[in-house]
Amino acid sequence: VSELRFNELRGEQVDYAVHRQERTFLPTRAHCPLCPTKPGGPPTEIPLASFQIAVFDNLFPAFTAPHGAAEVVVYSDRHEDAFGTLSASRAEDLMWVWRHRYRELGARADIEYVLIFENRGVEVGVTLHHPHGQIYGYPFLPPVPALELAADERLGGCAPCILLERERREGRRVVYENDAVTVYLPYAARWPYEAHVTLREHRPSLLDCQPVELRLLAEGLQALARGYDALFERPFPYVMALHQAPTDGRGQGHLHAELYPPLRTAHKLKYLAGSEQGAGTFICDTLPEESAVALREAIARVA
Amino acid sequence: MTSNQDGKTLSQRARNTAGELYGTVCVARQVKEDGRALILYTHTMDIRDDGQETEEQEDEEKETEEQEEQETEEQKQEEQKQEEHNDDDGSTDSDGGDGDHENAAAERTEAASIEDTADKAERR
Repeated sequence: VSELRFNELRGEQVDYAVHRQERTFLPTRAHCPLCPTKPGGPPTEIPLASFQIAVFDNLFPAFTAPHGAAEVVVYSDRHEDAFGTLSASRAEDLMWVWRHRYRELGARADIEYVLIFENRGVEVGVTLHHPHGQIYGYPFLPPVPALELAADERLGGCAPCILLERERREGRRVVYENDAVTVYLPYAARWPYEAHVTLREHRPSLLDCQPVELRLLAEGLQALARGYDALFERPFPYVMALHQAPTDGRGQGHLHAELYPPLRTAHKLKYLAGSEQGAGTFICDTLPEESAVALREAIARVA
Repeated sequence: MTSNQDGKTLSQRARNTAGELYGTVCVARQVKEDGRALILYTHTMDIRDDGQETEEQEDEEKETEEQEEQETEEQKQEEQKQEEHNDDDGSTDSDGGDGDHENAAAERTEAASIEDTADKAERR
């Protein structure tokens, strides 16, 4: 059972889930709990010889009903897969799985915001290498989506729509486009290769997307993930977070994915240090325009 | 551990345990022995922009319908022959069903379910 405490100085909730201290930490491949269960072998989280996509309640949840939810989404039964290497068909299926979970969790009275995310790489704290993501159903509106709603008010309209229009007009930071999705490094990115994958039509959530848009969203996300891996010719760590409308009816939101990769070079990490943690101000070593040139080329190289 | 471990393939299990269709996936719900939920998603079929089947699937369905019409016609002719034959010897044909016909009907139901569940009635 987790406990929420309100941090008065920051004006934010802090979640204490002390049982998570015991969670599985970087097991060997033979003991991966997200692999299929081998005949005669110890049961894993998915007790089947094979599967395509599986979702289950997190064994070490940060949130549990009736105060939220924590789910694990396993993308594949192949341990060596990654989001970027899934087949196009599997990636499209994953968009429907995300949508399905957003719909069901969002309908619950105890959940005000649904965050679908993936942590990739030990650099961002991954404890299981098997390709998977997670979903948290928060019993409150977290600070980041709250800030996005505040940006809507500040800009006098949908902030992602307005910013996307600016980015497309300028073009220098756009690294990929298809018929429904634009990928760009934002003007004021906090991370050297931070990228936003945004639906060009105003779609508050996955539920508002046409099927073709879901397919093209998967295509855009995979193009970026593959481009990331090509950039330094190594598996590229990142945090991927899908921002959508709050499910408590507050504000609209605009569906987009934000990716925060911690690498600034092939072997150097960007750390959150004094200024970032102590003052909340990011100090960046590279300009998004320069990063965009390299990332655009990398995406094109593996397209 | 789930409460359902047998030799069935995943797709068989998915269809047998739930059969809920959602976009391009089939949703099968299970409960693990410790009470946690486990949901299995399997790929079903591709759908067009408006949630309808793809042209390829429509072609396949059209072919199936044409085949059904042809088979029905053949069946009528066969029944007619059989009646003529029965008139001769008094025997009856007690064949209970046609697997192909049942499969075609199931496919149509599946497509309709996708249309109903995937795109129409879930907007907030």
